[in-house]
Amino acid sequence: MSGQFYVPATGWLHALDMRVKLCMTLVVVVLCSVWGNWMFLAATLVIMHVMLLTGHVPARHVGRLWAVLAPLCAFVAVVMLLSMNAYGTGVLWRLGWWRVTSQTLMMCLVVVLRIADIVLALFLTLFTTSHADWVRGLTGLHLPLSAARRMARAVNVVPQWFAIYRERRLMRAVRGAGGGLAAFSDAWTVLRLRERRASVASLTRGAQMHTGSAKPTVMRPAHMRLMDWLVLGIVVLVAAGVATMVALGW
Amino acid sequence: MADIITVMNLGWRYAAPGGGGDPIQGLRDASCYVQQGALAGVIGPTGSGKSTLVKALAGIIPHCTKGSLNGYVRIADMNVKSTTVSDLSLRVGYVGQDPRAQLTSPTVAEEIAFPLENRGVEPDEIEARVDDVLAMLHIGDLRDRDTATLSTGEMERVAIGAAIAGEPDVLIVDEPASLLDEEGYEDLVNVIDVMRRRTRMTAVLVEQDTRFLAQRADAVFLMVNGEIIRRTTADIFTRERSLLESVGVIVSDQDAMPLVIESDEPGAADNPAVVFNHVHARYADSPPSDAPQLDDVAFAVQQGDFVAITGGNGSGKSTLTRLVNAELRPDRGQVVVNGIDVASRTPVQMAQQVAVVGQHPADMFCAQSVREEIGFGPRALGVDDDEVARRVNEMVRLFDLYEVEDMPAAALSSGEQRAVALACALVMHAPVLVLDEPAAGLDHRLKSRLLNTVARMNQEGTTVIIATEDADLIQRYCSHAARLDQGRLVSYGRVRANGQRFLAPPPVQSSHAASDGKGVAR
Repeated sequence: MSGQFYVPATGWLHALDMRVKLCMTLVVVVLCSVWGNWMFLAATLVIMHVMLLTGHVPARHVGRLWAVLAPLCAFVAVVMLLSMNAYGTGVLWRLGWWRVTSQTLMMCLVVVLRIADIVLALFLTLFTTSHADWVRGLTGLHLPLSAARRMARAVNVVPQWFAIYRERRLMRAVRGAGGGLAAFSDAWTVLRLRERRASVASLTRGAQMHTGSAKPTVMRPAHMRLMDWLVLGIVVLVAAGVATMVALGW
Repeated sequence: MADIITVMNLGWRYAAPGGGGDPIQGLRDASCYVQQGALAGVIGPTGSGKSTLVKALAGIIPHCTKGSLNGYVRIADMNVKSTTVSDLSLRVGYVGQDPRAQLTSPTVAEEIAFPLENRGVEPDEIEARVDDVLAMLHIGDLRDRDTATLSTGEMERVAIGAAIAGEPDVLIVDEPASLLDEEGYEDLVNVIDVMRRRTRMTAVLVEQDTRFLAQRADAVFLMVNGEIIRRTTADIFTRERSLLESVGVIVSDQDAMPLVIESDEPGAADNPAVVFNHVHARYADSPPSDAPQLDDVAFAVQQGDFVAITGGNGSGKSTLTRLVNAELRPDRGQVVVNGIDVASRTPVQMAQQVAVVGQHPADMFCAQSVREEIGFGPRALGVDDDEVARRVNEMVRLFDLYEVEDMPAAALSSGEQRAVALACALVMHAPVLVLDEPAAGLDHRLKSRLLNTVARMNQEGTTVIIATEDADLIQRYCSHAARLDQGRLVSYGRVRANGQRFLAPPPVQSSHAASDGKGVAR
């Protein structure tokens, strides 16, 4: 495990400017949170899968994401079905005190699709944006270089922890110790130690250097291509269209 | 010529590990001066304070390390005490002992660009400079590689690249020879020469391998027990050879004799301990365009042999060792250990068959003290407490760890850590012992002590596989060697001895074992 969400590939999504992807993610998150139209939510989910497929993101990574997401969605749906017992009138099924209505099912479907859409939107950016892209894009949004680097590292804290956990578990295993619980606390300690070492290493390479009037730069500054503007335009149009439909009460 | 480095009466005490106990004296009243443009060497036995001294030059001590400093350090017109590490890095390039701890970026190009970005260099210039550095170090093919997939030697080259990218006035490199192959070291030497000529860069090298310093150093500082006991020139290697050897610094008269491997049939072992059967391995994170880490490697290791796996940086040595205990699974092919197909076992199950000491001993430590660390493995395998205590006592005695047995292993010096790691492996009483560069960075005495112990275990029947580039070590201890190049086996066979073969004394209880051909020098 590489310790980052980023999946190297050469698709159009990887080439897309990070700021456009971030905008796309934010638009999807906001629209899916605001509009509960199940057809819109389902269509968004399908479109994002098509984007990942055409962007050459390997299917096994999307599969791994669903391996975590599907049980989560199922859990949420079951909790909703059990707890929204008194909601709705169109009873589809009854078992003693517990009843399932068409309205409850529809609400479950909308919530599950929302969760899936939001998570997919986040991972659409995470899978296709490298550390350099994050730094480039965030400095393009006028964040200071040091802050951009910190945020780019923070994005991958969770996969880094998992990678270290697996490493520690393996180290214990080759010494004959099974079981992974002790490796949990090990992993946190090692992660903090590595963060500290990286911080010292950064200082020896000039991070936080006083350079007077010279501002830090990036090797390849962010630059919007025609394709990036096109995609941004589409995102804005879709957002405007959906906002109009919501306003019209669809 | 003016001094670019001035160290006066420098003392440093590390804060006690874990907050309790006594501080550890790192430096005592050290003083030295280095002229601009000079090549200075810092030599001395393991634990003598060499790394502590150069960390003080780079500002890591005192700014990033807990402890107390007294004395004075000035480097490139900057007082280290009152200048931040970042500002020192404007003129000082530093490469530490562990390159993994120095890599800050996910790709090689980003790593080398990092210091230039911090300086505000224009993007076009950054790209050009990165290309220059990659070319100087002959690592152009690593440009877009994920730094996590590099071998340790490759990481060292990248770390050197990042240190020289900003064209520092002073370049400090801590023990590069222990990590670089011949080509890599030659590139470093060439880079130092070019930069000294072009920009009058000053170079400070900490080394156990003194060949280069003996030929080219302008100044040599010999450190023992935290003190600089000699401030002299390269003449020390001839004038005071006996002093150097008495403190564990090896002095080579000439270049190391080349390793000669007599060609044998790689699969011919009538009683194999380990069989590599056409193994092919590629790390999951490696790009498909890169060559695999191992490509169709096939040879067999006889029971009781002492086999070296050798080759340049990135040749696949460490990868091959990680297959033996199921730490890594081959994509194709098979690894068999004492008749057991490793693919059918977990690493926990293989721990009874194979004991491993990795390249980075600190990575394996899990316990709170050295005693607990050594007892960890046998306890995990279900050995009873009395037997565990007996084995731990044996290892503490064997490696003379009495003074540190209650300290956490992570707080020890590098040499002590390697001794503890080896003790952790030997205590398992496994029939196969795998070592990955066990002597890297150790002084001659400590290296001999550790390897003599391994050789005695080999004589008693333990099969030993050691991954190393040290030709002298291979000729002194190994019966056979397998040479890898870019993941492929290029030769396998008996090692032609260089006349200084280690001869272990026969074990007291079985004097006839010396004649059965197992592990005794041929």
